[in-house]
Amino acid sequence: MRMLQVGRWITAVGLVLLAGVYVRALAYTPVEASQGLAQKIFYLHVPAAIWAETAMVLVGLASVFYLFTKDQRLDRFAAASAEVGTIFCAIVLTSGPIWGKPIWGTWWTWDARLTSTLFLFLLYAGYLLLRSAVTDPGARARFSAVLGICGMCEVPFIHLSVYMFPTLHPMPIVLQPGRPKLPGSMLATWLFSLGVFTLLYVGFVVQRYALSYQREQRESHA
Amino acid sequence: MRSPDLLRHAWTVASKDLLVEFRSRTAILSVAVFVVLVLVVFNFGRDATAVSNVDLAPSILWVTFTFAAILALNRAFQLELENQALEGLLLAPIDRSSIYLGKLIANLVFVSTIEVIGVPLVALFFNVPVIQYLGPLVLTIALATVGFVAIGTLFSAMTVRTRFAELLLPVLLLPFMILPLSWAVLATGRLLAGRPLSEIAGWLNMLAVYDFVFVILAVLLFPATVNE
Amino acid sequence: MPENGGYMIAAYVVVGAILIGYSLSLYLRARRSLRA
Repeated sequence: MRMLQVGRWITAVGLVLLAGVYVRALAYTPVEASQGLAQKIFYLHVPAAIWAETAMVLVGLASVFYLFTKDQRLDRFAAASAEVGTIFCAIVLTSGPIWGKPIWGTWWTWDARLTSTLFLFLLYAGYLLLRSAVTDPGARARFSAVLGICGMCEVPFIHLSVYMFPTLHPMPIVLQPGRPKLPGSMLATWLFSLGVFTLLYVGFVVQRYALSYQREQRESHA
Repeated sequence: MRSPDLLRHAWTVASKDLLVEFRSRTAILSVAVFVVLVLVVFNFGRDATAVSNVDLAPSILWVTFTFAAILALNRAFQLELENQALEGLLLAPIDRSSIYLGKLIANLVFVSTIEVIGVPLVALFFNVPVIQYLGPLVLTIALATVGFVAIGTLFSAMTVRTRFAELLLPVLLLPFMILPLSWAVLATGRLLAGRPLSEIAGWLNMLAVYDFVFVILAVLLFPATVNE
Repeated sequence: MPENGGYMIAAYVVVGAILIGYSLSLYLRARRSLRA
């Protein structure tokens, strides 16, 4: 299956480049003075967080278009993006506390950002559970679309709540205009990592999409 | 479909559900008993010197309201499972949105009844001053309730025919409940502590916007949950 | 500067494990699906 091959290649390249990110972040990027080495978790944590959220927005958009067009490809894409988004969300939820423990002294705090990532994970988990609970493919696609759209609409509220609650979490540093920027070398590493995570997202989604397609083919021939 | 018909049909659907509900009365009674149970347990469980009533009251209030809401929502479409009543409802010459609005109204009435019972009980058992903040308190409770009941009604239409319906609904609802719930608990807490209204205005605004967005979304999406 | 390199390594290992693990999962699921 060609799509599967393409997906596997993209993922393979992504993983190799990920090793490159690791090397660059660990060995060739300056250490941040106040936080120490643990700060380098930032280079994995933030790109993963960006894609965890973007994946949910994409699920939502695909869901909207699905309800209008009933095109099965959109449903397949939504399912793929949801599964991959869950993985990235898990990365954020594991790297976050590991970063937080040395810096804030605690594994978990109910601050807005951590909590909202947890919500995102719950949204994903609910979406995947709903898909597995509904057997009829038509209903499954429709229901998932409904949930996906609600999930996408929830994301802005989650964001807003970040700014409403007092938080230990560092405020946005990379994309805030007018605030102290990341020094060049760190920015480069961060951008490199973002690119790799983008590549991995695409590779994973393509593979997962192909998997859905394969399964559907099998079921229709059974 | 024109507005007056929409609401009229919605009210018909709602009154049908409410009639069934209040005739049997089992749900209301079990939730009322649960409310009292929670209050008693919380009372014995806490250390009065360590945690003040005012700090605990919002959480207790909202735990009970949430449970009531989940119970109502689980039953929302169960009525239609028997005798293919849902198909009958769908065949009726009314807008799908009327069905949703009707269910929403019925659920809101149910949950409001619990809230009307719950607030005085909490005030009584926990000696929490409520009367002087009644206006804003009612507003906070109303706004938060509309939020998660609106989404819950939508989701219950989807979960009702799945295998673990009663379990799936709260799981799906959880991330959508946490936000309005946390705003409501914080606002209630501040309110009962005597803080000025200006402090909670932000949360009330968020709740209002949340409700607006999700009620409209639910009305628009509901047909997708019942169309074949 | 605080001594917290251990946390950095832990995070990098965990994230790598998750990504490699998921890649493997996709690979194996596709293979199983093709074979059936």
